[in-house]
Amino acid sequence: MNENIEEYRKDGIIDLDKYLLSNPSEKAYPYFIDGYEENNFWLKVKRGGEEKYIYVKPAKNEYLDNNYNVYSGLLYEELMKQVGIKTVDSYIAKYDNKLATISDNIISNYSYNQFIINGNELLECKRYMTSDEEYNIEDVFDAIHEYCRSEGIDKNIEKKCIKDIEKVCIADIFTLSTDRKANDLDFVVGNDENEDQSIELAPLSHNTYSLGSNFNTDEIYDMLDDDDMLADRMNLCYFDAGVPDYKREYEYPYWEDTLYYLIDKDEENLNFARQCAANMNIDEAIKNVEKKIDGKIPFEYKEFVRVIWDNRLQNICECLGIDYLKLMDNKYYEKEMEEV
Amino acid sequence: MSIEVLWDELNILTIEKKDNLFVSSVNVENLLNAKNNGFPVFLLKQISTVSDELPFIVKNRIGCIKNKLRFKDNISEDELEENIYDYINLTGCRRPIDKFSINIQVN
Repeated sequence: MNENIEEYRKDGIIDLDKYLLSNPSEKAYPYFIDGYEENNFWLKVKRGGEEKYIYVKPAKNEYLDNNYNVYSGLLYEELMKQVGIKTVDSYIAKYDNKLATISDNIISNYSYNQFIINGNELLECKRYMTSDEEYNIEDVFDAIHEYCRSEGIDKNIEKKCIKDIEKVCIADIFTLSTDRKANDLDFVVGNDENEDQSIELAPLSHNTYSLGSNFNTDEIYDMLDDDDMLADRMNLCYFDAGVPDYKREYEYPYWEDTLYYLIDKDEENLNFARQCAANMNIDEAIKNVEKKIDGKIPFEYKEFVRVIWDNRLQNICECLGIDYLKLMDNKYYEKEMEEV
Repeated sequence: MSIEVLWDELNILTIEKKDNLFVSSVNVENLLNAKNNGFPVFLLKQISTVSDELPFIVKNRIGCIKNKLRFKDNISEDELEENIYDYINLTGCRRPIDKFSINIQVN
């Protein structure tokens, strides 16, 4: 009988290397690499009294000299909790002597006949679209529309699915996400508990390319020293599956164009953006992550995150017509009241 | 070569490779059973009966196995073809969040 993986947690970090050494049978499971993430894999382990699959994502530091993407993923999850967006629940682990994140199998919380399809698969179902071709957020919405029409899915379910994606895009703008492509969105499909076909945005699991985790340590120090450089670099954080061409002012899908496109589309989006500005709290997220990992996020990354967060929030407030200083005063006041 | 695409253990699609063509045929009875159990038919709607490439459902999954063998297990291109069939039949190219699996029979 394999040991519980939780027993290998030390200082908030699960030692997968040690676990695999003591539980060699686990290695026999023929893990399958995710289609789009060559380094990520599934592993069958014992956790919380039952055997389950966990998804292991080693820190991708072959291009970077740091492993901040492990922390950015956890911070992203905390920020999304503050505005009610579902994400996976990740933990830090040590794998192959490097940091990694692990998360539970998201589909285990759904009914037996439900399974996951990737956003790319939805796009590929539409003959004209392949994952290599350029696409934008409206193509993803079209693919969902076609899927719902084909499967006779209720209009309200389709609307909710599209609305959830729009909310994710808005929240991604706040968190400076740079990699929200169709293959970074998963969908739970199949028969729901009422035996009806359904489609639902799955809890987000590709969240590490956010909050400035795509920079080398030297670049981070340079940006912390130079406000202009920081502003320029932060403006270049955009998503691949962004605003449609006809709404673009520049060649690339600039975050501001995407935000205007989404808030102009629907008042609910505008309200959600305001809700994000009011409710997302980076200090709270840092505090919760440090509590979860029972340790500290590297100091320089923490400072960098605070600076870029404020920079982006100020710019978003300008777009939304919100007084940034008043917003911060309100947040400070609410915190004071909570403490009292 | 023949490839079977199974959904929740039901064989819904068979692809025969004839020369350079991939000929796909659907097992209607199994497809209807799968549909009743939540299989979205939309995923098969754009698959051509005769095509010069594998349907994307298979191509995506096999591509991942190829990458694994190439980069993780350091298998050379010559050995790749031989190893890939064994590996696909061993794993079914299946992820825990997936209900598809793939079998390959080499004639």
